[in-house]
Amino acid sequence: MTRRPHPVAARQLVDDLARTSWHDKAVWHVRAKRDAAVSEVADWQALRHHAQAVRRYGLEHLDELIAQFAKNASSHGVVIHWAPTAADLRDTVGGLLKERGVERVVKSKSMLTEECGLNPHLAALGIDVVDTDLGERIVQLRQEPPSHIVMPAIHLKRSEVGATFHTHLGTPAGETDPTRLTRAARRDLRQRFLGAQAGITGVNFAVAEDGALVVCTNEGNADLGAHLPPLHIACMGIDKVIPRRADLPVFLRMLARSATGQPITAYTSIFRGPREGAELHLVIVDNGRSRLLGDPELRAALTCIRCGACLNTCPVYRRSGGHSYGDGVLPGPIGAVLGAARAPETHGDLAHASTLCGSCREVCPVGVPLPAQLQVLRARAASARPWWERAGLRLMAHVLADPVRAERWGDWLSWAHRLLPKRAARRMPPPARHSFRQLARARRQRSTTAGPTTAGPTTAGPKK
Amino acid sequence: MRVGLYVPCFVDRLAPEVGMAAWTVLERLGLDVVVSEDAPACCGQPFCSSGRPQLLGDLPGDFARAFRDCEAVVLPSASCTAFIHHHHEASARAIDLRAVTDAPPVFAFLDFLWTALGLRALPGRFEARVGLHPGCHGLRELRLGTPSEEGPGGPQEVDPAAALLATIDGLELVLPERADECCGFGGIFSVTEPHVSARMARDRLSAFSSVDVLVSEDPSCLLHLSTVKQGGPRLMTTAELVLAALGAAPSPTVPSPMVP
Repeated sequence: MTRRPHPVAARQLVDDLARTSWHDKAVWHVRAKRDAAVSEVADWQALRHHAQAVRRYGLEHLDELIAQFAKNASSHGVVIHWAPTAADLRDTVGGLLKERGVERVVKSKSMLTEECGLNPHLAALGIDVVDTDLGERIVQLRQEPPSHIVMPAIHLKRSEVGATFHTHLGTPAGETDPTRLTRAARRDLRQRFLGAQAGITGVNFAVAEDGALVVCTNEGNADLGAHLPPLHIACMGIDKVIPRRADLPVFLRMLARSATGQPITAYTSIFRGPREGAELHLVIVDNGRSRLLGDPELRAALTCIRCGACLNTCPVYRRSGGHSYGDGVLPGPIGAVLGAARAPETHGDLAHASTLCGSCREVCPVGVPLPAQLQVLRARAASARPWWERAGLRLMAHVLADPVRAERWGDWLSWAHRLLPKRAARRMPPPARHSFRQLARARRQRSTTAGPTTAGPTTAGPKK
Repeated sequence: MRVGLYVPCFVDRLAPEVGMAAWTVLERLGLDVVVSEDAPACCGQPFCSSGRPQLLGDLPGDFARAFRDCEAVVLPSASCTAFIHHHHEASARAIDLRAVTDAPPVFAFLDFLWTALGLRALPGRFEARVGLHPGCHGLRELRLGTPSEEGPGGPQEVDPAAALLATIDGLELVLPERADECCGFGGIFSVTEPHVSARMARDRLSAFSSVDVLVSEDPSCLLHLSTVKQGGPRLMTTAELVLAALGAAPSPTVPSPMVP
């Protein structure tokens, strides 16, 4: 499928004025909840700096930490699989399920498996995968990708969820009550959990020191999926490792407060090994992460803990929607960085899906310098920009390099403004009759002939 | 005190009155104002933010040489100030390194009055409900104020614009619920993503629907807002507003000019 560039894809939401207002408000509401939760932590900035330092340390020592983690986890009976690419993850998971004749799988939220295209692969193998996070289940039934890292169905209104459930789960037509809709989904999911032969989960943190896997959810769906069937397959990127168990509370606090404004996620499960008579497999995926690790200008993006706060605060995301960033990449500022870094030739335009306002960097619990990274990515993909943009900027640089030349061109362009079609002229503020430099010359002349003046209007107050 | 006044490219052509207002106010403060003919036409920000730092050429060197005799340079644009402050030194060519590292410090207009001149109040009168729009680069790069994302435990910086404007007689300062949301300009962003950009501008304006005047240290934000504005508040830069407030009032005395 060819991907539409962000400015084009954004129009699906932004051209719908009322829906854009609604989406902006819904997402901003979560940013406001984050602000309230953060204001309760007296030492938030200290915690943030600590978290950033631990994550940076983790990157510097990733090779040792990941080896230490794998050794400790396997000593508890976790079977480790290494997946250098997305295809390796698909083959590994598909192979594990096929070997055991698994046909029905429940899966909790994992952006990594979205990144690697796991669901379509398993479907092609004839395996039925049911997403069990409520938001993910909704978008799965609608055959849409998630539009947010932590709230996959934030782009949908209640009435749309009601219509989807009416079609797929047989809820009454016109039902929009969130509680009744959730109960309907739960009834359906309970049967899926009980009938599942395997559960797939993501991983939020992997503790190197003791080989523990940490999975956070608000619905307990990962726990049901991991505990009911005899096979649990967890999938994680190499960037999920943290050094010590003592670091975990720092990240649990920051993750929940940044993501949804909760003090902690409702369910935080620590898996150390398989339960009796069951198997626990862990697929550790690289898929471009080690290349990013070798990129000094961008590697801090690997410290991301996937809280989604940068999405909620991003004024562009709130108006363009998560689907404008494309399939298989995370949406929002972090998605723009990771997407454009992984595939500059196809996703380089994402580096331009930002005003560089800086809010994402400020809100980030681990201080990823997202705006600076977007600028780096813009520079790297500069040759792929449209010809008129490249030519325009080169001409602009030539003109502005010399003040005299700039003034000549400025006079000419100011005159030419009147030739613009009306619509274009409205989008461009009209030039003044004389430039500041010309007014300044006149003023200097006046002051040398007449001495110092007390210029300035004598009226105060707004003129309408 | 010898102070440079640097008027950036778009203000030069689209809003020269902003530069003139800043000039008048600085003169009324008793400063020796240098408006250099040799100053480059542009600070170079558009090239770096669009991913072409190589097109910056020697603009940082030109800037440093034009104002080498000044103790400070004032810009009626916080965004350009942030760019010069953070990027000129890093991107200067080796041959000009000395000139650029020795360049005088740069200040946005009211930050100069607050930080360099030490003014804590402004005389004059301005009878209006005034909304303040903090430009993103002034706020989040120059830390002119505390961003709404900050949370407890960090440095709580004073916004010189809010602090000084609030002292003007008759002026009622209004801050919207979303205190520091971006106006949607973003330079090249407004060209490459015109629809999202315009939508952001409309939303930003509607956040200020109850004020008479919308003021900002950043004329670029105001110019962007003006392209979608239909009715609504009057748009003024801080320099224009301070000048209008001063009117015929006696000029403020500068306590003890000092440049950090």
